[in-house]
Amino acid sequence: MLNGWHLWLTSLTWDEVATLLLGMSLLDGPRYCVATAITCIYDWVCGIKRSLFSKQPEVEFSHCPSVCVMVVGLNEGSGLGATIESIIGTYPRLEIVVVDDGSDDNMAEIGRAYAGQHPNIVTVLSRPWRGGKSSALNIAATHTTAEVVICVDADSHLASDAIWEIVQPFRDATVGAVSATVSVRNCFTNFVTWFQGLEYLQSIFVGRLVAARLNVLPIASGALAGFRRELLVRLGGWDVGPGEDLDMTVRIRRLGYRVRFAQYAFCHTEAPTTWKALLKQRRRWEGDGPVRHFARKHIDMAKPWHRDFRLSNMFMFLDGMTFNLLCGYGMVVWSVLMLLHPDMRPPPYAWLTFYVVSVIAEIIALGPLMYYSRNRKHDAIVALAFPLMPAYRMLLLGVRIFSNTAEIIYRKSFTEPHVPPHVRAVTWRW
Amino acid sequence: MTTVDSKSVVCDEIQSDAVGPGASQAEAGSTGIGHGRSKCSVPLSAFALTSDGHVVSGEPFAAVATSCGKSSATISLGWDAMPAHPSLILGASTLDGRTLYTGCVLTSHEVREDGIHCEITRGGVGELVLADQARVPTLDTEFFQYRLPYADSVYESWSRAGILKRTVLDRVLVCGKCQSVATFRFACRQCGSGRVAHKMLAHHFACAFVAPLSEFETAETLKCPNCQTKHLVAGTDFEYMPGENECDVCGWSDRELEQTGHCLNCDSRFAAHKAAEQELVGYHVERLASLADIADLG
Repeated sequence: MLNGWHLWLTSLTWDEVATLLLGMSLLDGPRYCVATAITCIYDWVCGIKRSLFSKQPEVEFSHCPSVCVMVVGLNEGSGLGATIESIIGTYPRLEIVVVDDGSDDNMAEIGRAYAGQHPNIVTVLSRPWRGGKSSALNIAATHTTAEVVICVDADSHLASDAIWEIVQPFRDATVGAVSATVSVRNCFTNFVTWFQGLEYLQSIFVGRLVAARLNVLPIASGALAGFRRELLVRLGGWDVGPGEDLDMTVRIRRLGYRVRFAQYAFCHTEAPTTWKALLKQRRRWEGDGPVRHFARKHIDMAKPWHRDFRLSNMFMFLDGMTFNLLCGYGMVVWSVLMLLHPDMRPPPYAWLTFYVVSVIAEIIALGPLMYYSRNRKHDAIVALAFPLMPAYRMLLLGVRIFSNTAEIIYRKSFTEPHVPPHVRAVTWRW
Repeated sequence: MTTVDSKSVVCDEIQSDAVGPGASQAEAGSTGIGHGRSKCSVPLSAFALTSDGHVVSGEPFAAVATSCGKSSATISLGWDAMPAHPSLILGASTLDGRTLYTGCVLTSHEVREDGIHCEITRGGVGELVLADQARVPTLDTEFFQYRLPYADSVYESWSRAGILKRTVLDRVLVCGKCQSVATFRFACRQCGSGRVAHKMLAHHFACAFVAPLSEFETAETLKCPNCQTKHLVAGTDFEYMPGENECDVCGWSDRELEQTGHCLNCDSRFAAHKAAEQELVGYHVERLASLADIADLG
């Protein structure tokens, strides 16, 4: 078979090689590996230069604004205690506002127990019925005057220096939002979480660094994100979700503020442990990004004549639309072309080539991951999932295509149970 | 004559009509047999009291009731047992081991060969202390403090003597400074004032905007300041939600009020968790309903 494959490869014309490479560029892994490798080499060279010529020691944390951590959740009583424990005592000018969005469980009672122990730090707001995550965040925002607001999911645990890390970029007055690294806490539970563990490391820990450097980072994830509070007030708070974190980040960018990435502000979250739960989660995440928010709500970003047009936002728009929407459909077209192309048949060779190159790209992407990692032993074990990552990415690409199509045709995100029915019935449709 | 029990306690019941109309008052007093009295021989414990109600320290002295009426009786004491003050507490043991107490006053005594025969009536300082209302603390409305009517040392001496049993009736939160009763309410954390205005928030469903209701109010209608939607209807378009509290006195704004105490005596304000806890202590005693019951205890 190897001889046959070798013969097939050497028989390819340049056009056919280009067609193969085109397909690979449509997949996330191979595409990211080039950008991350360049960024990594740049940082490596800069690091060497700094160590040789810089005499001033680097001050790690020099900015200490007042911070309000907003923990919003529905029926999150089981994880809330650990979340609050991971926050308390990690930062000096800290307040925590817990909003129980109409839970049926003991979330409010657990929050109040911590409020009793730390009356000047923890505040619990409980609403009798569900109103949605956005309004819960907005309620929390009315109860604070802190300079920086940090949103944390109620099932996420923060690293001990996460708040320090996330507030440092706010030293720059042009920074409006800071994204943080979300990592998978349960990545060794099974293959589902293992794949997600490596995916989060590549697409968030390293991928967002690249996006932030290129100034096209569109999202500060709801699991852990920092916002300048005065901008939240100016913008009237979060709009109705889903995708309220992406929406808020884009709106801050449209005001002319920058979005930075605090790479070492770690937030450990629980990932879905079954394929079904994973696919359901991704179907919800993927649909509202490029179609609902970019192509519908914030299409103005692509209009050069619009009053708040900015080139960086247009690049972000093009980046999001291309890689999150068009690449998916491009992959479908490419696959069909491959199947129909006479020289690409018999397909095993084409698909084998595709797979091998994708795995090589995954290996290349591990270099930057290991370079930036502060927990190399752990991350190296997580990275051992790389041979199967192309298949995992193909699966997620399929979910993305499905979700985007459903959003384009049915506006699926407006029927999601993520938002309670009485809010869904009256909210604006983009 | 009726023999009551094996202790050879003899109880001759002499009805009042048994005493002839010609019997003199002096005779009645000296024999201890008077109007409605029962003749008996019941051993008693007698506790001498001081003029201010304290029990004289030391062992109680023995006495024997020889005749008992409803409110008066005759007891005989040993030669050396004559108390300095006429107030006494008498304790009579029941067959089941309990001791019942009553307060009495020596009205007269007669020295005889077999001891001192004393005429007693129920009452005196002892009966005052044994009264129900004297053993339970009540609120002094001048200083707003829970107090017992007599000095603590009186009750302590009675407790030491084993007459009263100390009982915690309740626990109350009082001012840490003056131990007076305080009122408690949710108040401003800053100044402790209860004059606090609760601000109402409104949540507009369509845009998820949340702000004080006052920001939604215009001259004609309710309007969302974020998305400018007019004519908002409660329940359909928006909901009311509790917001921050603003103190009318110091202007402090806070999301949560603090339970605060206000002392009714010294006017000081303090957080409820800083209030002092006071035990309301009462005293329990088993009392004799009347002196006549002594005869039944033989």
